[in-house]
Amino acid sequence: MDWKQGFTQEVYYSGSFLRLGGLLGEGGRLRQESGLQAQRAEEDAMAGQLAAEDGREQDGAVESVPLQTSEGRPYLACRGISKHFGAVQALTDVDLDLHLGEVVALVGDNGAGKSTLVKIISGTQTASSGTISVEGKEVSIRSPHDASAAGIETVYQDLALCDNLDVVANLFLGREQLLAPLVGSPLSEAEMERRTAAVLQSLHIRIPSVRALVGTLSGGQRQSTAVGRAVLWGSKVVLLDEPTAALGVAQQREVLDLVRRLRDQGLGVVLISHNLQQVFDVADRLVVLRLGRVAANVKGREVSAEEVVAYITGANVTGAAAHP
Amino acid sequence: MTQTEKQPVASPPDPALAVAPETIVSGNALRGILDPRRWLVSGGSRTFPLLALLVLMWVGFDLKTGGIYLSSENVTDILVYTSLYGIVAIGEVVVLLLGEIDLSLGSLVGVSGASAALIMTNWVPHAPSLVTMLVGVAAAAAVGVLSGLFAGFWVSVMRVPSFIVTLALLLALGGIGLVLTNSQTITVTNDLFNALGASSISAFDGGYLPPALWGNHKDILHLSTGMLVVLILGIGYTLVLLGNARVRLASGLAAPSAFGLLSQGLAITVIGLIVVDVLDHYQGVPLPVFFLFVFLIIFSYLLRSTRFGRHVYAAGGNVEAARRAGISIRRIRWTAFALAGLMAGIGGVIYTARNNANNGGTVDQSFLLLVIASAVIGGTSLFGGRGSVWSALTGALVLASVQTGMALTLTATTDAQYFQYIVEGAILLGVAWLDTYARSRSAGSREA
Ligand SMILES: Nc1ncnc2c1ncn2[C@@H]1O[C@H](COP(=O)(O)OP(=O)(O)O)[C@@H](O)[C@H]1O
Ligand SMILES: [Mg+2]
Repeated sequence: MDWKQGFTQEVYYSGSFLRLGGLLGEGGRLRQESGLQAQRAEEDAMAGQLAAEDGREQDGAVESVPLQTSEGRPYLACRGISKHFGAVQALTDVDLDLHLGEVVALVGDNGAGKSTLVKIISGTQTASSGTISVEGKEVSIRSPHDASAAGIETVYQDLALCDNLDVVANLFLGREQLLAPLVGSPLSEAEMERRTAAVLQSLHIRIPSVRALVGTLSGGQRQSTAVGRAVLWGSKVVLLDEPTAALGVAQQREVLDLVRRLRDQGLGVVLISHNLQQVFDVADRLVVLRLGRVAANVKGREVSAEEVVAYITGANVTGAAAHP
Repeated sequence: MTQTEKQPVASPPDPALAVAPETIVSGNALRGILDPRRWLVSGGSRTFPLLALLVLMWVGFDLKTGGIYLSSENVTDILVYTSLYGIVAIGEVVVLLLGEIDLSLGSLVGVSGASAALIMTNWVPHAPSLVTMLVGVAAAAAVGVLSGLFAGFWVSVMRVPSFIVTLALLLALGGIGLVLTNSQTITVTNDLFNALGASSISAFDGGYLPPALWGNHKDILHLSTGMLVVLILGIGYTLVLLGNARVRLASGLAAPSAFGLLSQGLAITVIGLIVVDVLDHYQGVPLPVFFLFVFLIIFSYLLRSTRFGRHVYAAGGNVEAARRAGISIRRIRWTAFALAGLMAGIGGVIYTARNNANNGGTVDQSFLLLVIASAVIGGTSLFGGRGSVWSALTGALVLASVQTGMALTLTATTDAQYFQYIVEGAILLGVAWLDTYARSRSAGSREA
């Protein structure tokens, strides 16, 4: 066990495991994979139920995904994910849990491996080692299609939208509804428009018109449209890689509100952001990556910004980790 | 450059702009043509300048020629040329919408027409006239589709750029045409076939939707076959508009008023009737013109209202997004080239029928360029995703108007042809510039 791993363990204690520290005692310093995970799952289950109880102010949502309280088991569980690009070790032994109704922020310095982790979960890259489980069952995610099938949708930084089509066409792209189940049947425009309006309304997404061409929308509206698409198709998990980068202040707020609404509708969200203020605003849990390893996995309300910065930069927080 | 790099215009915090279904109007295929919000897609930013240009040109040429230009006979001529370019341009539009290009369509018109002529004269010369004609049409269409499938295979499966594949095909088809016919002119004597091109030299008094159905066609009040067709189409169009509005209302969506839709249907019908009346004063609606509109309607439906069309636009707009949405890009590309080939085959029929002959190489290379120019002048982007089949009509109409105008005003025919190309080149550059200018000024546009 090298110093980095020791440091990682240390952080678990100083974060969410601080209160449970006594249970693990001295042995916790050793990597006790299964025990540690069981504990974390239990802890997160409690958190999930809490979130479920106090996050219900949204009502009247049309066609919303029904809330699913987590029964201790995370919807998405990544274990021991490692990824190397040639000699570059982008991720080392990363664990990540996500419950439905939970927002997990992935933070870390540039090059910490955040995007790589999200790409592995979304199927655009495959891990060198490690497993991904959905609802407790191990799944093989080798393509975005596999991810969609597992209920995982990614809102890409470069946005997979067609600028030349309107919002309705984009939401239903590849899954258009027809008036009759025949080849060459007309599209069921009215029905698609109705469902689009309903899903956008349930997420309080504001756009000039569902018939506006996506190319005429602002960056925030485009992000929202892409998220609306994920929700429309019943995704359970939405991955957002720096959705607020390059957006104006008002639009950033729109996107963050949307993230909260996704959680309130019972979806799990993984959010990558460099803006710690935003992270503290919306995230239930923070996972800090540093040099491809989990440096901290903490509840948002249990850490200070200074501590998070320290995890990100690797500054000496607990006094236990030695640095070269 | 990625989309997010661009600082977007400030988003409107106004709650009135929140999605309110009751303020959302429309979406059906045919109405889309007249919906300003669709104009960006259909290249509508140039609709007005183009109409202005056409009217200016018509009035100018008419004054210069002392009324000959807008005479029934010359309008017939303009529209027949329009259909020659337009029918092939429809196929080119489908390919352009994908961001691809088909350079082989000009040569294909020659080869498919020559195949029809050869098969009719050598294989079925003694069959009943109708059978011979049908065999000829089928042969041309089949040659067109086969060539399109071949090009589509190389583009979609072998991933060779369409510019190269179709350039190669252009060269090869030029040779094949000459080999097939031994560079001899093959005369088509089947009058039914020649009627398909409204052949001016056909002995057969056909090639037009007969003007006399009820009343004297020289009177204002008469009913011709063409008028009947326009009335049926006009009523059908209006019923589709009203039907769509009803479906929207039933789904709880806003719909335009019935009065508005009725006026819209009426306006189009009246314009159609006027044009037909002008044509009736000569010989009636030429069959190629009738075919042009039939294909425009079919392809408009295909591209605007079906899943295939939606996927064509998607693949042309953002191929990566289309792929992620599970659309088979390969199938879409292949189909598009086959359709373009089919339209070139139909074009071959009309071209050959109009001339009563084909020598396999008669279709000069300017034909291809005029076909592409038609699509682009009409507003279809060379970069994919933007445009509509109606651009084939407007673009071809502009080119045919220039062509006949030049032929009438300039005495020396060679002069007419030279100046025609210069003017057409200038128009192409002009509308392309207008479009770029309009696009760079439209706030939402993300294209440089
Ligand atoms: N496709 C790739 N090829 C080689 N190295 C890569 C590739 N993608 C990411 N990396 C490397 O992996 C590390 C993590 O990158 P990334 O996940 O993009 O970081 P983050 O999103 O946290 O800024 C970096 O060192 C980066 O250079
Ligand atoms: Mg990144």
